[in-house]
Amino acid sequence: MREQSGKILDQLVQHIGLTFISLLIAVIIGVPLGIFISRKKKFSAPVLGFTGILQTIPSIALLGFMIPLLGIGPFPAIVALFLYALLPIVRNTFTGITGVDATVIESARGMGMSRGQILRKVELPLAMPVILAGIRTATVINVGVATLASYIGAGGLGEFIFGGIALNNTNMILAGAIPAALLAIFFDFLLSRIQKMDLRKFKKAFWVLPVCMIFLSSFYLLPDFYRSKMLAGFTPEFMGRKDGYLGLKNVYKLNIRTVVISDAVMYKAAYEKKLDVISGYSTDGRLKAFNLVILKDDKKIFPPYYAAPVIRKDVLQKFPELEKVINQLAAHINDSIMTELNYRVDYLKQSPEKVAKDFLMEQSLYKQPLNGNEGVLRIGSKIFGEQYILASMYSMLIKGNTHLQVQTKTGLGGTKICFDALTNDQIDMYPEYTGTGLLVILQTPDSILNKLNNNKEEIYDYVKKQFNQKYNLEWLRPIGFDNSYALMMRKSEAVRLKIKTISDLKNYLNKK
Amino acid sequence: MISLHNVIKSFGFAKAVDDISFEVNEGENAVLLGTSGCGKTTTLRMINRLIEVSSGEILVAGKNIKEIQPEELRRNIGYVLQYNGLFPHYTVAQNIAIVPELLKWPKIRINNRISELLYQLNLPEGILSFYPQQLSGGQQQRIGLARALAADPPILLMDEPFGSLDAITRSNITKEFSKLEALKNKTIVLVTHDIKEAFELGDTILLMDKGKIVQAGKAIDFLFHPKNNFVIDFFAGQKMLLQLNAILLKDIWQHLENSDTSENNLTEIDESKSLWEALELLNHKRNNLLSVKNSSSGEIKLAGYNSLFIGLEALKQKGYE
Repeated sequence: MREQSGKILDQLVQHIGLTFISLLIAVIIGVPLGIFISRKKKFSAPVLGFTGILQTIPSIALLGFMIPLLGIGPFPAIVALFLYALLPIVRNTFTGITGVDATVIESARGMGMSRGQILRKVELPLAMPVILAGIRTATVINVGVATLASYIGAGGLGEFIFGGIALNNTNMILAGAIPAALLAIFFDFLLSRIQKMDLRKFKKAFWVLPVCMIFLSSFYLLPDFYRSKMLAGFTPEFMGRKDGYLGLKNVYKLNIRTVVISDAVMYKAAYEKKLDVISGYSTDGRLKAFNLVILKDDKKIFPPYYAAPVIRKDVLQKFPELEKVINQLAAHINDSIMTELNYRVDYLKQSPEKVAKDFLMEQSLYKQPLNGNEGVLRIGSKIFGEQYILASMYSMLIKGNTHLQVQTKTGLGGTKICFDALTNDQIDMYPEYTGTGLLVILQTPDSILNKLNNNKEEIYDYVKKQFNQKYNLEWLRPIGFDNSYALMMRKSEAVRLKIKTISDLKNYLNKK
Repeated sequence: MISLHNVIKSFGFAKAVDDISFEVNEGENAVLLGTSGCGKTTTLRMINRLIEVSSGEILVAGKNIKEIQPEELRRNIGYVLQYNGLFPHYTVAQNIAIVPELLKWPKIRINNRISELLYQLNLPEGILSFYPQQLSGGQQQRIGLARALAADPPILLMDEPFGSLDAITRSNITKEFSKLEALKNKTIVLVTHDIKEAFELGDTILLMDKGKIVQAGKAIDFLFHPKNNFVIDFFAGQKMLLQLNAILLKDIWQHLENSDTSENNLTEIDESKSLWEALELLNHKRNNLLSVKNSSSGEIKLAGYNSLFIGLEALKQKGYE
């Protein structure tokens, strides 16, 4: 955290920049568009309808749409934010201008004002409070949506928020959320003052506003990205972890230009050459789908991430038969099997349930559900394919071997959300990884980490013991695969540059 | 000053204005009278090209208005609307200055003109920094008039200028208006549906129906020489009042009572006053008789309730000439 505190200002400045660049473009395009549709009324319904539809697209989905079209980074984020800001500005300009008293317009014409004079001297000044209200709405929306821009590598306060969620670090979430909230309140207040200014002072506001906006927009350009040969895209979680980016910097002395990006789009971005290096997971199906290769961790900074189910102890005591049933899966899945299963879900778009069922049948573990009603077991999962598959497998095993019903709560945002759900009795079990337990949840100090020395058995034993004591949770037997962090590159490029290990990458980057 | 020749305006298949021609001389007040939808406002708005004619031509000061830029044309024609159309974001002073500023008058000239107008229209100087919504309806209407007069245009178009005012304010402002020095030399076309207003303000009245001019002429012609049943019906409701207003004492001179002496202590009234004004004066003074003086011969006659109505009856019998 301390190492990141200097970043708040950077991110705040980026956030303001992102918000206002997009807002400025939205004003430059939205106000004339609003004026246009107030003149040609037949276009008003389609234009307002279309911008309205843009508004209803969930922001994360809109950012997702941008990636195949515009790639990652600030540009698609600004486009997405611009599209969000468009509706309130166009609609309010239209409403403001059409709301001007027809008699006033008629008298302006009757006195011999030209169309341009009527627009500048009558319509715009009279519509200005309404237009400003639209800009105000758009500003607040943009401050909020801009937090999501960090998903596609555009920076902003979202880096802290999502990093914090991923890392189970409340302080980090607040470090992003509080400035974002204050920013929204501050700009809302500022614009409300301008909006309430007396009509005759609008002439001034008319100039102050664009100047301010251009000034604030320029913020984004200030933190100059230093150049390097390659661009790395790391998830917010990876960026904040000792066994992630911080380890790369400390142990490998890796010096690479980075952007923060969501796991969901990272692999594709690497495949499409928008990114050169990414932080992936070693069993991810997209590794296969996008023809990526893992760089060997020759200095062993990534601890093992053996997957194993974590379950509440009181549940195990209540249903003692569960332990045996759940452990049926243990040692059945190795790295390459998991990668293959993930590939079927992530790339072949088979449903996790189908993949889970096929696999269990293959291994002769599948049984028809007993449809019992002795109780309900709630299985959680994090928000990626592998966890969905595992949750489905456990669900089928439990339904087939016990008289319990199963409720699955899949797609819980991250480690923190899953773990809190478990300790707060919202779910009964979910699949967790030893490395995550060790570093994220237990926040194990360096002295102990050094002793454990990334040894998979010792780590499992340590985590199992600590969870038992601290949280009354039980780690059951490992499933067999190790989904650890890994740096990845396009296979073709790795071969061409002869990069096999992270040290190779560092040496390549340090060469002139 | 203004002349229309065979002007037609059609919206789709409907003819809002159907082949009308008329002329308004310099300094004359012409009133377009009719019910709503008769085409009177459309006619007015064609004169400053707020609406373009479908066919026919309109001349202003001898020039076909099609050959003048609409903005140019409008800046030289004052325009007063029913709902004044004052700019709510402009002060009274800024509102009045709109046309002079469009014409790029120097600041000093504009300020002098504003002071002059305030004086002519009996408006207090302090009103200039107010915004329209801070004024009463009557004041707003006067500012609307001041704005139309600002650049001293020779022509004034008025669309129901008093239509939005209450009855009492309206009657006061109409009277005031008819006496305004600033309007004496203007050529005015005024649109109204109010018969009384038309009679009070119009030198010429053009009665319109369904896009056509049914009858044109002086007020009294409509009462005593109605062209057809439409005209009779149109005035039927207020006929008595209108007649009393339209007929002057000198018109019934022969029916007034002779006076024995040239000196009396009765209230005097001028022979150019209407019968209605004479009746009001009788009522107000609680007298039975008024003294009327013939301005050319100096002869004095007496007017009482009796003689006024006998005169009116006689005039109706033989038809007004």
